[in-house]
Amino acid sequence: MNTAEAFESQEAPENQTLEMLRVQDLHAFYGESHILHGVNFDVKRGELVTLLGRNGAGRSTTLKAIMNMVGRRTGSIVINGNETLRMKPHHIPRLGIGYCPEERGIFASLDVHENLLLPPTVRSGGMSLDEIYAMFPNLYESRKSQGTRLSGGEQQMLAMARILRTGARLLLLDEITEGLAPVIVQKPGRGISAAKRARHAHRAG
Amino acid sequence: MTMIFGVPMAVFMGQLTLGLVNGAFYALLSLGLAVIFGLLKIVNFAHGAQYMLGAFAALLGFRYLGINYWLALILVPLVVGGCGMLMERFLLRRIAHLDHLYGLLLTFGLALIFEGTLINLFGVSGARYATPEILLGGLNLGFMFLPTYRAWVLVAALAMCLFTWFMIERTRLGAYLRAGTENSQLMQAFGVNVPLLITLTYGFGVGLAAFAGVLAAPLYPVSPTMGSSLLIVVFAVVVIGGMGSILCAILTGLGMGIIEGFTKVYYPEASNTVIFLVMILVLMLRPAGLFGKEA
Repeated sequence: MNTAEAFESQEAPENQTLEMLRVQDLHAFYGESHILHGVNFDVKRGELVTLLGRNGAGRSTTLKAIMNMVGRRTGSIVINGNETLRMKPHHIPRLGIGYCPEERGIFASLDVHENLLLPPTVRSGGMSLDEIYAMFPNLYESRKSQGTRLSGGEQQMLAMARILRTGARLLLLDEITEGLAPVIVQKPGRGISAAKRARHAHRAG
Repeated sequence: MTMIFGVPMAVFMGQLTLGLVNGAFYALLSLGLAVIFGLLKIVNFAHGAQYMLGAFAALLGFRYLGINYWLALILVPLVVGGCGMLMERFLLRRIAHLDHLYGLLLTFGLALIFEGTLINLFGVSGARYATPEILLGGLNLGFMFLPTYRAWVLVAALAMCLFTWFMIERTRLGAYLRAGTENSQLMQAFGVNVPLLITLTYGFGVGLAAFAGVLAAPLYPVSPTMGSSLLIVVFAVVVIGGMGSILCAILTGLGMGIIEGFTKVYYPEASNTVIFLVMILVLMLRPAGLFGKEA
């Protein structure tokens, strides 16, 4: 399950378009190999979009192409009204995107707390550290231990929690249940729902 | 006279100090190499030349601009480190996407250019840099005579190593560096300006080398070739320690200095080769280095 989820924007007046992400005729290449052949989809505010496909269909590559992590891209990727095809990779997250990679990308040389604080804030209104630790008590318990010492499920929680902190309005989550024991597969889903509720509560409050 | 392990106490302690001072230089230089290699994946062959440039900048700064030692200790690392940043930005970055061997060749070539230019201008004989007056002389500790400047070098180098350790292991910028060393692409995807981080890191590593150069200026003749001979030993130290943590680089540097110092006492003939013998032994027993992680 590779998902792109858009939280409702708090900045409705300044951004009238409903679309947070529009991918049009996206082609992506790794060196000589042509991976994506004309991908089209869009994600509206508050929407949860899931990409389905067999192995090698290009779901992860689609997310990586949005983050400008592949070799070459053609077509159009518009994020919050900004065409990002020519943007440098580190400018794209600052449009309000949080990316959770398939391999989770927990850093072994950082402890859990440092992993959590690592991604820079991209928008105001992200979850605070207290809120995150309240939502994921396991992470608080093991905040001093090496990031990669956590169990697979906890690492997945950490990978998600750290982008919830950044205030990103659009989350790109790549296979967040991959390799998890069936009993904890529900957990990331609950995490997303909780994050969404928290965001709505934020908006109301 | 008190004897210790078959040699007079004063000789023993003298060689220990000498070994520690040499070790402090190994530590400073291998630290810079390790930091640069971690993020850029480039073996910085210009490191010895940058150390030499540090010593030369101190010498020329004093001769032509009247910059004293203490000012040089602050200014020179900034200036040489700044030059390093320009080097990274305009040369190394252009070949960053190629095989890392190109980086090795480029930095080696640059080292030759720096050395050759200075040899052309100043010759190879080397010049003396006056020890600052306050650090002249020494302390009689009763069991040995401790030259003040060497004691100062030890303190300053260790302080700088600790500062580096603190910056890398305990600050947010250091966390960026550690994370970037592991997976720089993901750091980009979080919105971290990795190219800038790389420039700063290279500049910092070069600055460390230049700092070591200024510390070395009053100890050794300041000559264009002073870096290249030292760098070979430092590479051996890095191989011995492995590309592990910062603390390990510091400990290995000091340890190798001490081993070298004692070899001078007990078997002087081997003092120039002992580090390489240790290196061979380590490569045979622990190919990833004493503190390195097995790949």
